[in-house]
Amino acid sequence: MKNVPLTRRTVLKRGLASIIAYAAAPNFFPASLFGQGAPSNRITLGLVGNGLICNAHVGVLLGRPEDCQIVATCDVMRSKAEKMRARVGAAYGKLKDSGTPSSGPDIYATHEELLARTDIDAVFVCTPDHWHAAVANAAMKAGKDVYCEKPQTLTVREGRVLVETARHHGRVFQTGTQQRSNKSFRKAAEIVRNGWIGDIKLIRTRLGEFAPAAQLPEEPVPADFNYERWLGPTPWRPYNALRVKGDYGGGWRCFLEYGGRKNGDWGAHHFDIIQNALGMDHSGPVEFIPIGHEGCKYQTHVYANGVRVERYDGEPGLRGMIEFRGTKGTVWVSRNDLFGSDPAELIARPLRGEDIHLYASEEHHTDFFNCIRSRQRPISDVEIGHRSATVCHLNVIAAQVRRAIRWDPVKEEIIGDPVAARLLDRPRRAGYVL
Amino acid sequence: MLRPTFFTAGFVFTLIAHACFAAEPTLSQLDYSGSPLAVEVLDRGLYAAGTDPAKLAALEQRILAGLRASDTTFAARQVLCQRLGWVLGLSPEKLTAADLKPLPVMLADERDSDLARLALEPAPGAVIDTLFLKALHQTTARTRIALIDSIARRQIVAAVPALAKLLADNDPATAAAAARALGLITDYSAAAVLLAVPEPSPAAVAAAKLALAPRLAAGSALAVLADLRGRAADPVHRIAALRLLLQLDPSIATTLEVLEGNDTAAKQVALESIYASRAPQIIPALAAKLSTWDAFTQAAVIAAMARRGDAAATSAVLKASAHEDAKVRMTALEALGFLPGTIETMTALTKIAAGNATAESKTAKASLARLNGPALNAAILSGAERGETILRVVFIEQIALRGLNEGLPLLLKLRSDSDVTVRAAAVSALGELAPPADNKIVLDWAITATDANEQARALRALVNITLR
Repeated sequence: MKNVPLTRRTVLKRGLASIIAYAAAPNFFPASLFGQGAPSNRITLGLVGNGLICNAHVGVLLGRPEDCQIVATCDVMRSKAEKMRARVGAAYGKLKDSGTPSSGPDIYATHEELLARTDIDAVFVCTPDHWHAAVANAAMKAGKDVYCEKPQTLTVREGRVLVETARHHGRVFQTGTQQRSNKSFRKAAEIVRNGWIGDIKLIRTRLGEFAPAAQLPEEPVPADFNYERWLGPTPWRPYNALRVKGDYGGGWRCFLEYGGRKNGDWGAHHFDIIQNALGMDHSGPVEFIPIGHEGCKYQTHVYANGVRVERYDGEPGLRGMIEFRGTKGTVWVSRNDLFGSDPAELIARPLRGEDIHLYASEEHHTDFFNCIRSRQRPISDVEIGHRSATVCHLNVIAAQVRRAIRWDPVKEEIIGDPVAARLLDRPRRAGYVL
Repeated sequence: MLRPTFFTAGFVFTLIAHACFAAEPTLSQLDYSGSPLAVEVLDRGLYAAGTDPAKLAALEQRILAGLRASDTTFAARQVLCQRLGWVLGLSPEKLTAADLKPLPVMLADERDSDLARLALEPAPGAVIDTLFLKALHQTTARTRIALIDSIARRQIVAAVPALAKLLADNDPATAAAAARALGLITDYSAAAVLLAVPEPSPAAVAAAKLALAPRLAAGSALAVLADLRGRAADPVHRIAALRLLLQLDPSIATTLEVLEGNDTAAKQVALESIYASRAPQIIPALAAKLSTWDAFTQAAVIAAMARRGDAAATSAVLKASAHEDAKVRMTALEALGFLPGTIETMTALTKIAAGNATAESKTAKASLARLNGPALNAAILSGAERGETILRVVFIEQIALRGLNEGLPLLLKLRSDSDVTVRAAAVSALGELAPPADNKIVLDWAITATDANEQARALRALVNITLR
């Protein structure tokens, strides 16, 4: 980042008004964001991974040219990167008076080349899960802030590495658990946190299921696809289009080599909200029980205070994606602001000054950009994302070894099961160290 | 006796495992597109073994036997190595290098090294450490770099001399890997190698020094970080060194020195560090120096103190809320809402909030709504009941903003207040707080209001309550 003199220019687009007492106040103003004219106040972005979710982000980012400018993109499939460049270039080309250049972002074949640019402030990491940690880690060490898609990591140990790097380098790291920035999910968590439904006994959440990972015949690798690099740190497998497909209904998400299946996919969202509601953002459950173990009907994880979280995909269905059951009531919440409670008036009950107010973010990207400017920790800070991803991974590990595992969230160790403990990390293929 | 039981159990389990393998003889011929049943059989054996050392030992031997078979496919060897990595070395029997055949040869083979590392990297033990060391000398390029990474993860101290030599390797990637490994191995011999390289050092060496610095004794760590801060080639490393220095150094002298300087990137780091600083009396020290800094630095320090939420900052921040510079005033007003609340703070904020609808009055109002402290709610209720009108209006608004349901009786009582401004404010506040049961009262209030503004507010309140 260029080192320009400090000015008195205000960089916060919004004041502290939206940051409730529980959250951190803004700190100071990064020198690189000061300048004489509007373009220098924009956050310059690089994109790594140009698949489905990246395109969703770009749809948002292109709608805020005063906030950010996408200057670089990277994908292991050249045609995807070129489509991204064309899309972004066309959008910027239409912005006549903003000073934004009309050409699209530069394309890079590797994230290392993209990160070597000194004019990039932040990076969106939108690769499959198995690349999240390596790209995010390298980005932070190169002095960039990071928005990393969920789940944050593929293994538990990767998450702790990311936390340490973020803290040592003072980087802003937003995990892509955007449900935290939704007011209904936040209010549901505040209802729980403030004890309005009493002591929580049971939480149920619906994750759905992917098809089993298929055995796939080898196919020719497309000419513009660096499949070797797509595999990255994971064990070699022959190429097949279904293996690498970025499909919300399956594709690479079906394979434990690249992600945590539904535990990593939807669990990363719902377990994260549950962690927030229970005040467990810097801790976690202590036991993980796979479905069918000793008669357990549902995949379950248990907190030290006895709260059970069941993965419930059965009938009758839940009233919401997450349902909190307390001794004095119930609250349920889903996306699209589907939100209800029993007693019914709880969802409209205002918070008092002395109540617990959770960090209020009105929009996940906005929060990220504000935190880049203010240098405070965002709503889904790296530690929070790591702890939530850990819940996902430990559920996967329990299912892999087909027995209950006990977890020490302070030491971050599996207790009394050396086989399961081996699964907290994975050896990486040559050329792809973390 | 344990030993015969151990071997008996192991023998029995071996028979079972052999039966499983014999029933599904195609594991060795596994390919990526064929039936996965052979893998499922292997995994059933794993689940059945649980954490029983005898059963795991038997499984371990069975897997190694599978690896030794000459016709085992790459896919099968990959699965076998992966599963072996889960169980290798968990039996009480000490393994020898011969027991681990063919893994030592695989480890040094460019094609098979990744497979061997799947099995060996997770398993502790000096015998396996030796295999890695041997393979390190037999390999080059990517294979060797991967072994270096495994050596770091395994914390193989015996590799330090070899890594020290590789620090000067002609291949930059190898040299960087060696530096990284030395930074991760938690032994003083590894640190000594890195610390012997003077600054400005290659980027990988500087990064490795940053990684090891927190593990050093306090005095050594501070010296290393000070050296990096002053002389590292990459500004990213210089800033990271400063950040670590401020985390480890309880003295606030560095913080004050940086805040007084002109290095803006360093100032950012210093301001960030205030939040988590362990330095005793840092807030009083900052508060004492606050007015000596330029306005921008003052504003930034105020915001940092607010983030920390330390009551020791309140007096200085209150004083800054009357600063001649607008930015300092605004930041101070915002900050007051994050600091522990006192009656004095509440009074100051109320007076500013009572001003014309300026940015400062709005900010003061927001801070007041957020302010937390003993007896504040009671003071707000009391202030709403009597006193100067413009202040009473602010307090009445705060009853709603702060969700003070206990203020409902007072709001209803204020319907008969002689001051129309007070009445209008009270009915607006009712609109935010009152339950549906009070609808009739509010309707009546609207009907009987004689002032147009008061009536309009009562009607709006009625709508709010109804919609709620």
